[in-house]
Amino acid sequence: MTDNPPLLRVQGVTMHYGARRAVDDVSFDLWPGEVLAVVGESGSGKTTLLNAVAARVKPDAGRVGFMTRHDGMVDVYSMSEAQRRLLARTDWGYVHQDAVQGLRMNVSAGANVGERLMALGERHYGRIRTEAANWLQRVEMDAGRIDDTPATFSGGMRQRLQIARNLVTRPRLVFMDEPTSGLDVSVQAKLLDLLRTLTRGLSLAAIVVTHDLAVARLLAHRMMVMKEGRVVETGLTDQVLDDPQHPYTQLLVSSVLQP
Amino acid sequence: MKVSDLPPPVERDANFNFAYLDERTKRMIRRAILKAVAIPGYQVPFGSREMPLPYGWGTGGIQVTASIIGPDDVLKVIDQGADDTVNAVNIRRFFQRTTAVAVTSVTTEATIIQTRHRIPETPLHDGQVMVYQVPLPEPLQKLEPREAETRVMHGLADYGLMHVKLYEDIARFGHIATTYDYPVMVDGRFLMAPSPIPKFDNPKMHMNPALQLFGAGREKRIYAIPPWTSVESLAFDDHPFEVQRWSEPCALCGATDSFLDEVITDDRGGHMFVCSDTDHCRLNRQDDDR
Amino acid sequence: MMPGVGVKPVLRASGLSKRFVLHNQGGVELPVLEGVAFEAFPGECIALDGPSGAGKSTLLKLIYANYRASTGSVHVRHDDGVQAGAEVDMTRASAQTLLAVRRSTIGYVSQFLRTVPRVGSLDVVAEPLLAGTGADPEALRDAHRQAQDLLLRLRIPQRLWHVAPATFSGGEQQRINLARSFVRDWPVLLLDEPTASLDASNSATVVALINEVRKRGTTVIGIFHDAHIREQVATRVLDMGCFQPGPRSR
Repeated sequence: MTDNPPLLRVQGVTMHYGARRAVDDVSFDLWPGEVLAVVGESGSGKTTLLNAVAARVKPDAGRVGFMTRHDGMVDVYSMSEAQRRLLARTDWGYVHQDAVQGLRMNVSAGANVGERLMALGERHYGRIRTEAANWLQRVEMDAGRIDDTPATFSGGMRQRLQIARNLVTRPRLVFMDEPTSGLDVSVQAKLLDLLRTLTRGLSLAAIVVTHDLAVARLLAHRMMVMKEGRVVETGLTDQVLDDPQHPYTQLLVSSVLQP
Repeated sequence: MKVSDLPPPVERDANFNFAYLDERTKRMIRRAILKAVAIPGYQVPFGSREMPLPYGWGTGGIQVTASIIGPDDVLKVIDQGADDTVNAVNIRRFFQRTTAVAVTSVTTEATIIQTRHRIPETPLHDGQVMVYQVPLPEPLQKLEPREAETRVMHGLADYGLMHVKLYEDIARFGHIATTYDYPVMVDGRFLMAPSPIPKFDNPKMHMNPALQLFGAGREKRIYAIPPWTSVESLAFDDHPFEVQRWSEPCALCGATDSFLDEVITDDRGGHMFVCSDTDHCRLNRQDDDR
Repeated sequence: MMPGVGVKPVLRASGLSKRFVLHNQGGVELPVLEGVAFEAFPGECIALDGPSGAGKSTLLKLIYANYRASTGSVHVRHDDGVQAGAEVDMTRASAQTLLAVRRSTIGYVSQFLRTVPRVGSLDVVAEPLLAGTGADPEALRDAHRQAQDLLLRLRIPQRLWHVAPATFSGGEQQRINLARSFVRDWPVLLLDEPTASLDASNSATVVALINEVRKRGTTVIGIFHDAHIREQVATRVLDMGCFQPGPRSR
C-alpha cells in the first residue's frame, strides 16, 4: 500500500514574511483517505503552510504536487489559474475557521451548497435543489432551512453548511483551518464526530490545522508538529501524543489539561 | 411625430467643439469602442469625462454618441421608450445645439438611437447604431463586490455565481423574478449586463443587424454587441427564460406584441396599459386610421 | 506448546529497547526495556510476566508501534495484499504501512476504551470489520450481526447497543473494547489486562474467547495480572526480568 502514489506531495515549501521565515522547508506526503493534523501554537506557521499547500498563497520556494484524476502528479503552481480554480472547486475543499469567510452570507443555504454545481455547469434547478437538500441532511441540518440564509444560523450550523458546500462535488482532499475552534464545546464534539464520520465514510483525505490536540486525536491518522515554521516531529497521531520525542512536543502534550 | 414635428434644427453653438467633446477625447473613446466591438460583451475601461449633465442622466451614452456622431447622422433619443420625456428631450437638445444634426422620433429613420431602459419595438436594420445608457455595467457586482475578483471571473468565464442569483429568485419567488437588467451571455463568452431594459427586450439583442454600444459614464466602461451576434439570456433547463406577457392589449393602439406601461388614470384605482414605445404606438394608430 | 519444525514465527523482536527522554525535566533518561528478544508463533498465547514497572505495557505498545523503539526491531508477518507473509519492521515502517498492519494484522486491547462521542456501541464494535468496505449495506448488516453476537456473549444489555459507550461503567467499557477486538480474527492480538475490571462470569467468557481465537491460529500476547486467568490461557510465559536495563554509565 506504500507503493501507491501519494495524493499530495509537498516538497521544501518555504514562505517568508519580510525577513522572517513563516514556513521553513516543509515537506510531506499525504495519501488518499488520510487525515493529517498540523498542530502547533499560534504563529507556528501552520495556517500559512495550509494556504501555501492549498494553492491560496504562492510560497517563495517549494513544490506542491497533486495527483490529478487524469494527468497524474501535477505541480499546482504550474497550473493555469483556470485549472487551479477548477481543482479548488471540484477535487478540493477548504473549510475556513470563520464560516463567514467560507459562505455567502446573503444567499440561501441551498444556493450556498449548489454554487459549486452551478459553477461546473449544472443548469437544472430541480437537481441542484435536490442535491443541496441531500447534503444538508448528510451534515445533519434540517432540510427545511434550505431557503434560509446563513445569517440566521448558529455558529455550528454555519460550519456544517460550509462543510456541505465543500463536499457537494465529492472532493478527494479537504483543507480545514481550525474547523471547530470558536464553537461551544458541546457543538464542537458534534461537529468533530460529523467530520470523522464524513472523512471515514467518503475516504476523504484532509489536512486539518488545529491547536487542539484532542481534535487531532479524534480525526487524524497522522500528525505533524510545527514550531517557528519548521516541522519538529511527525508520526502516527497516537505515537506523537503518547510517546512524544521532541522537547517541544513533550511540552505541548504535557500542557494539555485532562478533564 | 415625424422629423418635421420636432423643433426645427437649431444653429450649432460655435462656442463648443462639434458634439461637445474635443477631438482627442472622441478618438480615445472610439478606440475603446473599437476594442469593445472586437471583444463582444467585454467591458473596456475608458477615460470618462465630466459632462454638462449629472451622472445618472446618461453621461456614458452621451459620450459614446458624441464620439460616433457626424453631421449627416439622424438622431433619435428615447427614455423608457418615449421620445418626449425629460431625459430624452434634454439629450436631444444637447446634441442639436452642439451638432445641429437632424433628429427624429421615427425608429426606422434614425441612424443613431440613444436609449435609456428600452429597445424600440420596430425592428432595427443594418447600419443603425443603438447607444445604451448604463448605470451598472458589472453584472456580478452585487454578488461579488471585489472588482479584482470579478475581472478574473470574466477572464476565466467563471460564471457559476450568476446562476446562484437566479437560483435565489426561484427559491424565493418560485420563478426567476429578475425582470430588468437580466444577465446575458454575449457570443457564448462574456457575461453582460444589458442595462436596465426589461427582459422583454432581451431577445431583440440576439442576432440584431444593428451595432449595439453600451456606455457607463460614472463606472467608466464601454462595451458592445456587434451586428449579428448571439445574445443568450441565462436560465435553468427546468426554468427557461421567459418574457413578460400582459392580459390586455394597449389601450391606445390595441397592440398585443409590445411592452406595456401601466398608467394610473384617476385616484380611484382606474388604470390602463399603454405601449411604452411611443413611436410604435403612434405608428399603429396611424395604420388604424388609414 | 512448541511449534513444529519449519513453522515460521509471526512476530520476532530483537535487540529491542525503550528509553524515555524527558526533555522538559532536565533531560532525564528513563530506561524501561533493554535487549528484548523473542519469537511468537501462530496459536501461541504468551503471557508477559513481571512486577509492575517491568515494562509489560511498554512492550505491547512497542509491538503496536504506539511507542517508538529506541533500538532494535519488531518484525511482523503482514499480508499486504501483494506479497503474503512479507515482514514489516514495526519500528521503521512508514505511517501508511503501520496503519495497514493495524487494520488487518495486529489487534490491540488497551486498558481503556477511547470513546468516540455519539457513536453507538454496536457501531463501535463493528468498526474493525468495516475498514475498507466503504458503505456497502450488505457488509454493514453482516458486521452488525457479528457485533451483536459478541455483545450478547459479553452480556452487554441490548438497551445499551445503540448508546455511545462514553457513559458506561468501567467494566462495560472494557467489554466493549474486548468485543471490538474479538469481532474479527487477527494474526496477532495484544491484550493489556483484559479482565482487570470484569466479574467472574465475564472473565470466563474472555478466557473462552482467547482460547477460541488461539485455536484458530491467532498469536496472543498479553498481560494477565490474575494468575488464575493466566493459567487458563497462557501457553508460554515470558519473563520480563530478562529485559530490565542494567545499571548504566551515564
